[in-house]
Amino acid sequence: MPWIKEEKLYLIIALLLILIIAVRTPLETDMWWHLRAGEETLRNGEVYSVDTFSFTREGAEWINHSWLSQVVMFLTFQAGSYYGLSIWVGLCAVLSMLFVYLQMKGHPLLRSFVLLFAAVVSSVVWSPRPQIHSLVLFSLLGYLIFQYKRTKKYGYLIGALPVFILWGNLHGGYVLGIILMGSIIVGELFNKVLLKEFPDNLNWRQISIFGIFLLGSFLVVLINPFGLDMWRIPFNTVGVETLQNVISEWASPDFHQAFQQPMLWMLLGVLSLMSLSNKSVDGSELMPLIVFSWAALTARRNFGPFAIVAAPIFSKYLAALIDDWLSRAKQQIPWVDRILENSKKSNKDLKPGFKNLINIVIISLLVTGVCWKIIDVNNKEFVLEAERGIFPVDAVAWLESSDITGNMFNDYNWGGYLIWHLRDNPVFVDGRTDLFGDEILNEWKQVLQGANGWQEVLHRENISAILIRNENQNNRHFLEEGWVKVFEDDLSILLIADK
Amino acid sequence: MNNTNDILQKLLAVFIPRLGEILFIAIFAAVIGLGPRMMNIDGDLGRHITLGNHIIDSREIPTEDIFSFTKAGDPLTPHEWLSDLLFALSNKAAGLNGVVWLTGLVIAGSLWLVYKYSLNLSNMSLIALLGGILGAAASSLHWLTRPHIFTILLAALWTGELEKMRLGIRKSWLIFPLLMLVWVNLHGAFIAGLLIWACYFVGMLLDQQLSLNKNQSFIWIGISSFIVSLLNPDGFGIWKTGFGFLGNQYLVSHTAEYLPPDFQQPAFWPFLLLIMISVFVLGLSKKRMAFPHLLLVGGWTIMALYSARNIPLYVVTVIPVLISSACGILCDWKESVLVDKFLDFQKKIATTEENLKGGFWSIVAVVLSLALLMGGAKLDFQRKGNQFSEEVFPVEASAWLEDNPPEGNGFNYFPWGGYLLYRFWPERSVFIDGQTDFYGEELTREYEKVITLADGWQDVFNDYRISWVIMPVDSVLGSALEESSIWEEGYKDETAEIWLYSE
Repeated sequence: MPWIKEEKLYLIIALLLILIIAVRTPLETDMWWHLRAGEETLRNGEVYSVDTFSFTREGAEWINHSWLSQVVMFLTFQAGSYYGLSIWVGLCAVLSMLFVYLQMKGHPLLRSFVLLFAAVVSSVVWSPRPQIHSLVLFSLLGYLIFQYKRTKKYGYLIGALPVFILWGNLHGGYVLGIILMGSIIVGELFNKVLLKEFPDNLNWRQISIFGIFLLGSFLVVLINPFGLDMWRIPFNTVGVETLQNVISEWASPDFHQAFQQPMLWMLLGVLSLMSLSNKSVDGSELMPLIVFSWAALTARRNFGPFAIVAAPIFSKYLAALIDDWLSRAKQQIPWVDRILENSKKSNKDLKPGFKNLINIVIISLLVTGVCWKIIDVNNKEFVLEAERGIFPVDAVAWLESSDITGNMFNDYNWGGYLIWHLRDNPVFVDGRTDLFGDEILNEWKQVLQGANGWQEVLHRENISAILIRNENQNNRHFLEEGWVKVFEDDLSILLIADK
Repeated sequence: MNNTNDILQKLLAVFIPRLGEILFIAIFAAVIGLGPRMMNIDGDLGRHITLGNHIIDSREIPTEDIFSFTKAGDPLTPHEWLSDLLFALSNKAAGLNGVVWLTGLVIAGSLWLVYKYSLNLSNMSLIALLGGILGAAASSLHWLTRPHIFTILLAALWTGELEKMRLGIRKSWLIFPLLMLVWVNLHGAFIAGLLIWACYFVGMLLDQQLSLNKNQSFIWIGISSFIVSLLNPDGFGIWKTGFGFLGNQYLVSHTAEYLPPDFQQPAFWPFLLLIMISVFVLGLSKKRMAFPHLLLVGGWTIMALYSARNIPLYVVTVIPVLISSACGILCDWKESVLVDKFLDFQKKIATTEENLKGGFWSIVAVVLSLALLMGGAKLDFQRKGNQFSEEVFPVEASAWLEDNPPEGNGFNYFPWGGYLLYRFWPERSVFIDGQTDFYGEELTREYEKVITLADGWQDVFNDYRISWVIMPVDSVLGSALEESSIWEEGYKDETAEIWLYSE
């Protein structure tokens, strides 16, 4: 007997490949303020919820919905620095994909391929941020519901409650889970009323109990330090109008970018496979697919949930299609059957020892690949180089050695980095859009673009320095108004008021 | 008595409009109502009319650049010359009103075809009407006075006729090369026709539907259409131009209409709704979709998600297929009381429509609107009349330029190139206009360098001996010129600024 069954081998290979994709240099614009918030929470022994990182919102109450993720992130960073965060993101990605795999149907090899495809789609949003936890929990919730629908055992629904309690403390993305459950209920009702052809699906009682658990899940989210405010978070975030202009992940996908195209191919694949089938899709699969396709086309941060929902449907219909084609091919083309039989036979003929050797070699190579990737992307020089490409590393070093004091206007994407590195200097703005809202974000845009009244904003906030990207369009109006360039490199420019 | 009844019935059959006709008139009215918007969203209409006028006056189609001083004399593929001619003729006949009227006719015709082909495939006029309305909403973003409207019409016609060939309703394939001959001279997107043909040909091969006869016909459609596509002023060059542009990532990403749809904008929501409907319909359909339809739906969904300019083509090629599948699903749900009632109602509508002639009110609407527009009536929703907007184009600034003509070459804002040609050509030529495929990456980068004040922008001015500049107010370039001692402001209003070289 081989040590690892064929089915498990394919899964292990797929998961190791996913780990290789997911392990990256953990540099993300929001990562830094999350780390700092996690640090503050641990240092003070209470959840960080009153702003001290910015001077524009200083003292304001902040619903820190990701406090537990921030603590996890900070502890991971403290223990393993960049290596720790990088491995943590990789493991979360693998875990989220594992739960997807468990919902798939078809041959293990096919499932593994579809899983890799889903991983590539989802990988766009794998980053060292609390939302990586949302992906894991979303996927876990999908698996629990899948098991409930399969076995009709309420234990799986009970299992959803701790998931939501955890979710309510890890990230505001719990609303994705509520939407998933809601769309499944709508799909089940649709099955009952119109399709009437899925006898194994939930009966009215089971749908009602599912509905009660949906309500329960919504309620247990309140078990968090902010209580009822947690319900406001999704609306607060989505309600920020400037969000789409400032944060690229909230924008509609740009399929001219190669890294975003896999989502398009997955959507096309699912559409094609469904249309080549002779059966209706189960409403409880179709409704979430519609909802999360819509979400992914509206904001690319939803690529992950879309892939998690679409992959099981993709594998199910692909498996059915391949089975159908194979059975027809066997009937029409005699040598197809012979080839299939021969391949089965030659597989059986292989000695278990030889199979074990091959399996060990493959797994060892992939594990080596994972280790190499972890070491390579977290290499000190590599990280510094990457950091220099994204953040104003040299400008911050210059500032630390200078005697410049007072409030500083900063690039939106650098707010978190400055919060972590210039600990005594609060920022104008950072990635906490729910805290700043349209008011501050619009003022930030007004100043950056030199729109009417920008000087008043700087004057009111008592700004004495400006650290922004070194782009002619952005700094011209500052120079015209007498701001003086004191530092400049390829990425950033630092201006101070002309005394 | 019987005779009177017969006459009355015949009159009613003529005077009561069919659903398709109501759709045609509604869309035609909407396009006419949106006339000023259509003309002013895009800056190229001026160039199209100017080129059309030149063709009428000179009786020849230019194959080298005559409009710019930056590329003067360079070989040019006039891939829209026939559209330009039609725009110029309608402009000569009824001014800009004529251009808007022609656009209305073409767009309403295209969407009527969508309705018609949806009805042919589904036999449900109400659902086909819904498809037409959704199609109108999704494509309205690209209702513009541009040659691409002819591609929308021809793509609708082409797809419908190919479908008839597939179903065996049409026997002769000779219409296809004729359509292609017109298409290739109207607009560069004639390639879409061959892509649609490829969807059908490959799809039918996969469906194993091709018999010897059909096989031959479909091969002849492809071969003859390709050969006919070479019958244009630039021969094979038209293919090279099309692919050359699409292959240039820089140019494609710098052309607004080639960008992907932004679903944060409400204008794209009808298209998003159509995609969701396609997921819904394809998911619920119990009938395996024919491969030609699958390739059409898949292919055009991808194309439209990749470039928003393909949304109207998605509408005309995909909606009939979706409507056909949706009606199949409805028939499967007959047991539902609501669906059953709807199907009954649909039958009654169909029976009524069978006795109607149709067409009368469409002709009235088209002829009456033309007469009113020619008589000077303002039929647009805002009653402003079809004219270039002073808020969008440098209308007053151009009047100043006429009174104070500067010497030498002028650097112009790219979207205003067409308008400036409309006002000043042949006396003045432009630095650049909306014909990105002709101007190419090098000149577009130089233009970008100047407007963003990137390093070396003054060198571009020196190289082309720029002595005056026309830009929108408060532009970055304007602020740089304001600081400069060698440039002085010649004119400024709320839309445009003109700077003159003063050394």
